[in-house]
Amino acid sequence: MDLFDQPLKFVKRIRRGKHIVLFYEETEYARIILFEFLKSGLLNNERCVYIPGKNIKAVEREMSDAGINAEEFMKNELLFVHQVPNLAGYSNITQIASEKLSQFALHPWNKNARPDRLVLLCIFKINTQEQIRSNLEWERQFRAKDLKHLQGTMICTYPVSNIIPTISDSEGDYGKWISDLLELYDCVIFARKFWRGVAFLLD
Amino acid sequence: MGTESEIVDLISQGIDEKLGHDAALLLFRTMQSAYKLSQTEIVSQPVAFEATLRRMLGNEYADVVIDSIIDHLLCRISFLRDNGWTG
Repeated sequence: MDLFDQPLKFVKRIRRGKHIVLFYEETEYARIILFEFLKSGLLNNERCVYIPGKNIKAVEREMSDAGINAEEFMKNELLFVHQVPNLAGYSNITQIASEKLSQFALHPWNKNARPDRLVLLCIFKINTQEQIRSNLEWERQFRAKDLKHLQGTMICTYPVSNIIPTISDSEGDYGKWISDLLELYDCVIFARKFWRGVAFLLD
Repeated sequence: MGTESEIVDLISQGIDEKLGHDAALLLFRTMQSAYKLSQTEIVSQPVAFEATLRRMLGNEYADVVIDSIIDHLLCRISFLRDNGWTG
């Protein structure tokens, strides 16, 4: 018995309210996992929010290819897709990101209808120590507080071009950053090359 | 049976066989960061290791991985016994 589809089963069975961090190497593999997560929710009539980094039409096409009738779910107000804000050029990215995300992550439909499932593709650059610090500040001050109050299930993604060296070096900047995120989330998925992913509960 | 690193290697092989190449490395790193369980403690405190593994993977997957680890350990023990190891 091989467990190579474990991340897919993991997101299908995840309990409500968990926040998952997804580190990935291949975008396509990450997308398969994310769409499985959204599809599971939509089929249970859960309200889902997807905040990707590309335009909504492209996302609809990708979802359609994955067997998700995005147009129909959006018409029924079960699916809300919002293009990630372009935050490049802002000096205080944490504050701006928090405010922008609040508008459509916390209350995408109206103040009484909160999302059951939320997928947020990484809006942060993490190339410098300052960017890492800013990202962790956002994680602690906004994601782990405001978004946790949603009581919905959430996946945040981070592209990591090569996970193994990054995670092996526990003293490096990225190693410490990953350690901090592992302490801040309820679950982690490492999505490496296709079907070489693992998912763990952290709490 | 062997040094700590030999035992960790065998545990890693058992994990990787079921969860994929380098899964053990990710699992050990996660255990260290999130559960404060070092590789030394994984070897010296097998009960804590098993409990953590079950929390992380759930019983269904953990059973499969634990069986695989046991297979690798037993295989190594058999090899050593058949080759006259008495330690």
